[in-house]
Amino acid sequence: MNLIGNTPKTQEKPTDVTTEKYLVFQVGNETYGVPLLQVQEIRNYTPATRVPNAPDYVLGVINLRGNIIAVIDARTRFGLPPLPNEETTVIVVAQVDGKTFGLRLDSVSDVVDIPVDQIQPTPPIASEATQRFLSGVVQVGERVVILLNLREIFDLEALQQLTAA
Amino acid sequence: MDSLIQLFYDEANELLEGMEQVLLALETGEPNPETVNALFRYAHSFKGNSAAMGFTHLSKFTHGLESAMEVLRKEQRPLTPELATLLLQAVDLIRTLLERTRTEGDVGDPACDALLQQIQAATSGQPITPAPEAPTSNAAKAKPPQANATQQPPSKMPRYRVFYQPAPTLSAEHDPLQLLCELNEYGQVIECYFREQIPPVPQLKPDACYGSWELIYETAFEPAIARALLELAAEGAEVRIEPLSQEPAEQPREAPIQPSTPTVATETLAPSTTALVAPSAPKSETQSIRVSTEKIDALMNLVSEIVIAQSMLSSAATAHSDERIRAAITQMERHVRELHERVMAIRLLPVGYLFNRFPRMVRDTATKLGKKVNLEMEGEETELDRTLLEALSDPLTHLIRNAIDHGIEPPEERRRLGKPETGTIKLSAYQSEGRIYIEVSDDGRGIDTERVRQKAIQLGWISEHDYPPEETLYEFIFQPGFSTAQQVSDLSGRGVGMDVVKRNVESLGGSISVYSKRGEGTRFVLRVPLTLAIMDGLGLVVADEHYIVPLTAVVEALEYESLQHTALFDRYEMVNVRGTFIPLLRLRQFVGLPDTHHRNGLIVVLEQEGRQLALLVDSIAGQQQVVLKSLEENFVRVPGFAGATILGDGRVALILDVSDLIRRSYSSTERLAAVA
Repeated sequence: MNLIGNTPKTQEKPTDVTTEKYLVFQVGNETYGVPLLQVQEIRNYTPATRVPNAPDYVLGVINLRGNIIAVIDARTRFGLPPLPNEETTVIVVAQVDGKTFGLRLDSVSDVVDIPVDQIQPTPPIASEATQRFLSGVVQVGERVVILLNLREIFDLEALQQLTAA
Repeated sequence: MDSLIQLFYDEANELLEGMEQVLLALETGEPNPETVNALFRYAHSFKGNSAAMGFTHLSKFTHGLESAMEVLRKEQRPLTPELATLLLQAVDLIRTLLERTRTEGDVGDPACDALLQQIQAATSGQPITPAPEAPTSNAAKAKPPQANATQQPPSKMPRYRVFYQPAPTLSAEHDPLQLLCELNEYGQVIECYFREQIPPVPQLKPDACYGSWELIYETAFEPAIARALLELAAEGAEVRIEPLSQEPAEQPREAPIQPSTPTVATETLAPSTTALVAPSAPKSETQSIRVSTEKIDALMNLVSEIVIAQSMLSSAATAHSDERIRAAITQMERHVRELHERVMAIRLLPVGYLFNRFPRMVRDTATKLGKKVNLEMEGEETELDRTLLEALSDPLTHLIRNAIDHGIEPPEERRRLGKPETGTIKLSAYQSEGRIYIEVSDDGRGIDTERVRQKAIQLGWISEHDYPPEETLYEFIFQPGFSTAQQVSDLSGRGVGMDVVKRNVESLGGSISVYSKRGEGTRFVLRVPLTLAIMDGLGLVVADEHYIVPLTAVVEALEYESLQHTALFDRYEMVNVRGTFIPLLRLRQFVGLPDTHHRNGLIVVLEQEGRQLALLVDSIAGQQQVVLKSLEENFVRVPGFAGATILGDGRVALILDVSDLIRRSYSSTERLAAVA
């Protein structure tokens, strides 16, 4: 979208740096980020109802204004030991492919503008199972923000197979 | 009576919209014969409706339109753009007249005659593309069909036996008498027999039609016209037309009551509805509006939320609360309940809305397969949640197709077997025990259990020496990958289908069962809940977890301690409930909690599809109304659970899928039986 109007139509990217808003939060020692556009809301933690036979990272289901959504525990999903609920524990409600789900986080810290062209691919050092959760890494000021791929974290297809077994 | 008028206006507007759409589609697409047929039907319905309401001018005008369309239809001429323009003007004129009837009653307009003349001139005038097979016969000759029909020598025209059973519930705009009279416009009714089936007075319903007609009918037109006339105007009517050989066949038993016109016979039973509805001009009539289902669903969701908030409020307001607060809460409770009921009612639709799409499908499918099939429908007025109704469309379509394809035999075969050439498929709906039952039955060949067995052997499901009971064989039909159709047709028999049907029905919280008798037919029974949205549930507790089971499935609850317990091979547990051994399922075990191994606890006896299951729980939390929520919408389908609900405290509880639990328990016992 060009508001000045004198740039030729063929030019696709504006010359100035594009930034995207990311919600950043702490899991374990590191800072992670997800695109703010995918985040629907952040709510205080409410206990979830356990779903039998679901994988351990699925904490269960909660009531989101009349809809039933699943809550995934970020720590368990990343292979970290779970932490008890604190005042700061939140559920980030996000949408992936039209399905809404919650991600349980120890806390959220901030919304930051991330310059898109500075996102680097993550070096393939994590285990194969967790590598796919990552969509890149970026330096913002003094912080390193690890960007997450929510679709892979929710991974509906895997859930379908696990619960159907 | 006001509602009849309202219905008339609603339908009239729909018909006008339909006509308009068809006409406008011409501008972009190729004209085709279907267009003319559609316009004919619209004009015809409109004529019938307005005549029934006593709007003679409207009825006369639309009759003119209908005749014009009939000319085009008969000569298979396409609709010209010029004519389309004239017809659009006619639609506008009808709309104006319609508006005026609201205040002025039965009024006419001089513009009608002028426009009609123009239209008739256009239809009879020089065709743009004269079709070679359509001789440019003067349309005026074909125009007044009544005179025309009677003038022709009767012996030259083919005769038909027409059986006509009006829809069980008569509605104001469909007067059987009027329809029968209309038949005379396209041919001649030679003989007319009336058969009454009047029940004893206490069972007599004022709006029901207890009678049927059998006519000997002579027409130069396609017999389909008679069918269209009788069927299109009154949905749910049953029409059978059989060609009659020239020499009089076996006479019907009853003597003819009216040799040429069917007028008198109907008078007593079907009081002319025209008289019922005088064109009064209701000043403050209620307008009905069309609302998108999304809006209703959003409203329903919100109401469900209010119900939950209400129950939270009620439990928060304890005995120490202010008297006034408690009074207000009680009052609110009442209003919320009523609000809930009313919103629910918006979502209910008669199942006829769904059934009505089948007669056409049956006819097409049967023709394609060279079979003769008559579709009977009953219970169309049974009301069902609209989401359910839509979800049932595919399974029913499939079952009916299957019935035509696999069930009903070809006419020759039927004749050989001494069955009537025309097979019958019956579609019925009724409510019982808080559930809706929908049955699809046919009088065809029934399920060939031996072929099913062979197929199962072929698929490696059973061994050659296995002779499973019939019910087990029927179950195979619902397994993925099973199909016994000898020929794979494009209609059915691809081996997908019955398993999908079963899955669809089950995803609605319903179940399906099949009954069949070799050579006599097959009957599929679908059971679905009244509504998807709400049900009575029984709370079950294990450890600190709360589950819900639909109350309709609960037979009784018993002390576990009081029952005799046996385990086959120390594994497959059963309890003796009043002399019958039924499988035992430990809910703790099922949901992955450690078992207590105590003998305290309760047995909840569940039943579905005639099979019982004893479910062991720690305790019962009482009965409550629950709003059924989908787990699949934002998550995945969880086997063993039909969905979830939100409890009074805002927490989520999962709802057990009783048929799934029963199936699990029994399949393990059946496997066991096979081993033993």
